[in-house]
Amino acid sequence: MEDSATPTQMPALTVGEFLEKNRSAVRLDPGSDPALLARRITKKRLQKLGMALAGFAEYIQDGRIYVFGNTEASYCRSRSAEQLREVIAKLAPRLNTGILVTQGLAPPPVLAEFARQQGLPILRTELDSSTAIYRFTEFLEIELSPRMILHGLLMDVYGLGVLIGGESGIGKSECALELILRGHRLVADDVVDLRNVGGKHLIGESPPPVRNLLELRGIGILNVREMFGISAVSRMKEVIFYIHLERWHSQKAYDRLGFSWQRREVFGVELPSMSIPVAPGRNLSVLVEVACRVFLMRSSGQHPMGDLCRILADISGSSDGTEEVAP
Amino acid sequence: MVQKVLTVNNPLGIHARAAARLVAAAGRFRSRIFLARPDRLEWIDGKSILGILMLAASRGSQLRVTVEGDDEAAAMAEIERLFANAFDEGTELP
Repeated sequence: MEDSATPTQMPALTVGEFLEKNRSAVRLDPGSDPALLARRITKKRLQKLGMALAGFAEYIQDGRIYVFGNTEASYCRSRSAEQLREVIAKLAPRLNTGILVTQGLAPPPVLAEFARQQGLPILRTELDSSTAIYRFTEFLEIELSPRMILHGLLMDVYGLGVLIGGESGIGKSECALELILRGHRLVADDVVDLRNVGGKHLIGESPPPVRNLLELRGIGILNVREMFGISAVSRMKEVIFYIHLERWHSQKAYDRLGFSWQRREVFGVELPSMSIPVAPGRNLSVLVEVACRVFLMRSSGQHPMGDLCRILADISGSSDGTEEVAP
Repeated sequence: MVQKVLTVNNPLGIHARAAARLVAAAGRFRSRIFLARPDRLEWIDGKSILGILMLAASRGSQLRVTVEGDDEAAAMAEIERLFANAFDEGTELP
């Protein structure tokens, strides 16, 4: 599956998308032309304009949203319009994405005039600067992380984000249906949109056109949300466990003891994983559900194989093979 | 591995029935089949109908097709035939 997984281009978000996704907190300044919403945000960190207003503009970068808050407003009040105009003009070449004015302040006339000339959108929020920076940095951290599309199934089983892989036709969608009927939630079938957040977290969701859809051979495409209700689907989930479904090979050695985890790298993040062989008479959804229970138990330190080893060691008086196995 | 860029030339693009035909054809081969829009790097599994529908390939758009496996030549020939024949529009679904 690694070769079916290719990272997409450098992630970016337009200012319009930023507004749309933060509708409850941010709006466009009435003086800004909506045509400017096509400007692209490419950097995750928001930064205060701060010292740039005093003429130190070295750190101003393309693709970043700059924050104009109380500090900046009171600094601007201490300067004449002429002084400000001169300093702000120097920011022009690299200040090209947008300015977020916090605390419900109105942008000072000099700034508004500069934005109009530069074609720079001004956004406004009632939040204070530190809250806005924290909140929108976290938002951009997720939105601007590297993304890729993976062929597989993402389910929320007991609250665990489980990514299920395996070749076409192995029964992933049928497994999804049965898991849904057992009360678990579908995140994405067949096409999983994954983001690598900070190299540590994998967040998965369905690409919007096929969200809530499930394809079953012989039946067709179902809308799971319409058919089974809102609790049968989940919009987005962090992937923390990987299950690979594969055809049963009589020659291959499968894990018989459940001693330790296999590890599998998915899009730069290492996940605990299990390979489950598929064969007639093996009920996939039950196996996946039990695998998730095992995962939860191991995560809390419960380990039947460890217990068995201890009992055997007590009987034989040796201490062989009793080391704890962490998930 | 064989790779080709094919053009969608039926009036409706790869709509649902065309996607169903493409998936049915892909499923008859053992090879792994991937499709991608030329402007994007992500690959879609050619045996996944939801994946193909997500490509939203309209008339005139091009798709990169990669086929990999022991019957790759035959699989590519069949996919090329489908593209050239406007996904057998007007015939019964398999």
